[in-house]
Amino acid sequence: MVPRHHDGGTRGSFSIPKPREAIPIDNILLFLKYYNDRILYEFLQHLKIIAISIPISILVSVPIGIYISSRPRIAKIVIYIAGILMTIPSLALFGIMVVAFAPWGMGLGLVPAVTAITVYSLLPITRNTYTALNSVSEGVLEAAKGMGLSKRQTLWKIKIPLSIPVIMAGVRTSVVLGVSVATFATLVGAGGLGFFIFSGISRANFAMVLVGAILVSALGIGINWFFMRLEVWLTPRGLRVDRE
Amino acid sequence: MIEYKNITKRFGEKAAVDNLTLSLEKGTITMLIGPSGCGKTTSLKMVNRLVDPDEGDILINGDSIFDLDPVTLRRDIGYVIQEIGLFPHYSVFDNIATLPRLHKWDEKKIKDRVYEVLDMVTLDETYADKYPRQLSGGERQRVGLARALAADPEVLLMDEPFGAIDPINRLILQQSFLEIQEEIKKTIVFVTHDINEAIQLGDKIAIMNQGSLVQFDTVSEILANPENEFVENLLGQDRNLKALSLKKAKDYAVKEGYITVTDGTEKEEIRKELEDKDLIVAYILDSRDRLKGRYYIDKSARKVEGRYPIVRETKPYRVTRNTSLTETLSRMLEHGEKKLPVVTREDRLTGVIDLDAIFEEVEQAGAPKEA
Repeated sequence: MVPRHHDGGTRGSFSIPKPREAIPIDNILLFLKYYNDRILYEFLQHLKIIAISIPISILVSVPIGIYISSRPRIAKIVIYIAGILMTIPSLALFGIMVVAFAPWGMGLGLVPAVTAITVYSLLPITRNTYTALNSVSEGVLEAAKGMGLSKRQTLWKIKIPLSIPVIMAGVRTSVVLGVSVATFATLVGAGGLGFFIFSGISRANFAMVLVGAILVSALGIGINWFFMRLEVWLTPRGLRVDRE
Repeated sequence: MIEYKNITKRFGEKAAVDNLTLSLEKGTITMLIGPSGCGKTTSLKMVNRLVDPDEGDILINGDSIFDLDPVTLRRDIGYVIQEIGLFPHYSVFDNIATLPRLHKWDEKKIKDRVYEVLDMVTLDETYADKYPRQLSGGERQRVGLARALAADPEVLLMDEPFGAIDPINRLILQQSFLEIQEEIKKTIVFVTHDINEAIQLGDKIAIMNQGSLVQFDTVSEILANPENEFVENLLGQDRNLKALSLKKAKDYAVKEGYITVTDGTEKEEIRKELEDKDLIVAYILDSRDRLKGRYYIDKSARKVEGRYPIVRETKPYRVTRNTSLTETLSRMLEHGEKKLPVVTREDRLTGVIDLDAIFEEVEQAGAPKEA
């Protein structure tokens, strides 16, 4: 790709004066200087897409996981379907969403982006919820039943609290996955850090791509850390104490 | 009182329990024993309806358990299993408080009850805030028992509760279990595959094989008159010795052959009293009769000024009231003591047991017994 020369200097656009001897570090500093507002904006936009889709995904996946936990045959089908959804290339999934929402005039923007990421993050949460609920020890369940806890009480008082660490690990997987997949959101007009990556590629602006990629990674790492803390914090204390 | 009436349970074609009729007396421990697959656990689980029979009826105090909703029924029956099944995310307190909370007792009453049952299973208050993962296997099973007792059920079902615990702790747990039962007098159904445990703990033993009841009687009766070869094999070769293990130290403890003193008593005073009464041992008791030590005239030592020295010991060997004669005997041999003090769970002295008393018992056991 032949780099185009822009006038440079005007706010909101940027060009590489001498692309053939590009020294990324200089360009990055320059890039950051001119683009700081936009970076913040797209960063928050990226976060917003995640912040909307993950709670939706949790609200859908956890109840599904709970529902299928006592129905192994349905569980097999549901997890299979969720698995298939996950094998759709993410780029294609965004394309499908655009087409799917177009008839309602919502083919572009937040709606297809959020939907695509939600679909993508269903599997880890559903599967972990299902697995966690089914790995509560037999002895605990028999004691609960024998003591006279109803099915509902066993679910809410025993199974779910004991499953929190594994469910949260699934949520964490989904969020981290979501952060990277949300890079494509810019292609459906929902913005996000993908903007820098795709704009950078089309303009052969290495600094722009690099900044975009680094920010996506940093966001992923940061969110991962945050959810790891959250996981520990939500885990019942009795599961955290080690034998003295 | 629990009555099994013509209970049959089939898994597929095979009858796991075949026309079982059994009547368990109130306040006693009935041991269900037999080889694996004999239907003992299935029979136990029918009482709290974890398994429903295909035919027959089970009555508790005359009322059919099938008239009740299973969940309601289970809340009035204590249940202890080998896996223990403590809730790992609940503290010991919350584990024990589970049923009282379901029964909607007020918090004050729950708190009092939790500490009461903890005390019963000889765990102190500091355990309340611990979590199951911080406990040893033996401690966990004590908590499991405490949890089953929390709502004060009349019936207690125990499914090999001590099966997964190491032999030393198992012995201790069995011992304290008997002491607890002496206090609480529950109607207990206890499944085991260990004949020694059955003999040790049971008031009555129900021996099962292939879904049928082979023999149901008191422990001593079964030892004396096994119904058939199957029972004989189950009991093993050393029946006389096993019979000895049924006898408890408390029944042979006598309040003679020793004197008791308080801690401050002068040595010479004690020696004089012992010599006057021609005895050699004086036990030191505190104000609540707890055994704190002993003085004895050491006749194996050299005489000083024509008299044997008097020796003080702070931790004399002892047995508890429910220690079996076999166990008492082995401790006597182990420590080289001909007499051992017998104490209560609170360590109060109730008497001494003499080696001769055990020998007499062995001689009698060899002779034919009256029913």
